[in-house]
Amino acid sequence: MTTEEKSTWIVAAATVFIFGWYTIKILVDAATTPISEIQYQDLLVVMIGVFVGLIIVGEIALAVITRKIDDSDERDRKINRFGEYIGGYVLGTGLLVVLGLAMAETEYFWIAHASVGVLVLAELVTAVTKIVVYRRGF
Amino acid sequence: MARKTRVTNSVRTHRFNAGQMTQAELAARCDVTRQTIIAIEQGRFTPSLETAFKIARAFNVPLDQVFEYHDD
Repeated sequence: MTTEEKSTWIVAAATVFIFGWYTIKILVDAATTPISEIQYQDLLVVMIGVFVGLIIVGEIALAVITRKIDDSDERDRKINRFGEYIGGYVLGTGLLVVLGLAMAETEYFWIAHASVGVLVLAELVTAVTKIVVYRRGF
Repeated sequence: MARKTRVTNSVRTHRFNAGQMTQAELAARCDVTRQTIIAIEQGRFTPSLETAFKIARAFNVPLDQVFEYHDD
């Protein structure tokens, strides 16, 4: 497994772990509190900060363990481009959904979470695409 | 509709013919990772023309002795 593939696994795991936990927390709150009264803003900012921090720590740990900072080659770059290309489609399509929610003057809660959902989904699709291509090839 | 093309290679055979050159050694000579050499040998990745030339040069043979293009 190349360093780039390991790095992709770190991003995928951090995305599932952090935003999976956040989703469960919000769903639990939504079971007892009306949507418009859920205080999600601070938690969401902290979650995004923890997500970025976790990836940075993971990348540093990976570099220390493998003793390699960047050993990517043409195959890594090609796979990276392909993954980002597919993820870009998800992001673009998802943005239309967010735009639709805003135009329909939906509650801020839904607009904010649709935005986060689209970003997380795009990140996951990008990571999964890269991992599949790493395993199966082009 | 575009025809499906396929590039095959005999990198593994050439490695053994070149004094059992290791994948790591070939990778170092071609500026790619060992995993890329593995992917090329297994037909999971088609290298760029530049890397293909580097691989052929590592074995001191012409490019078309290592890589073949199948039209059908």
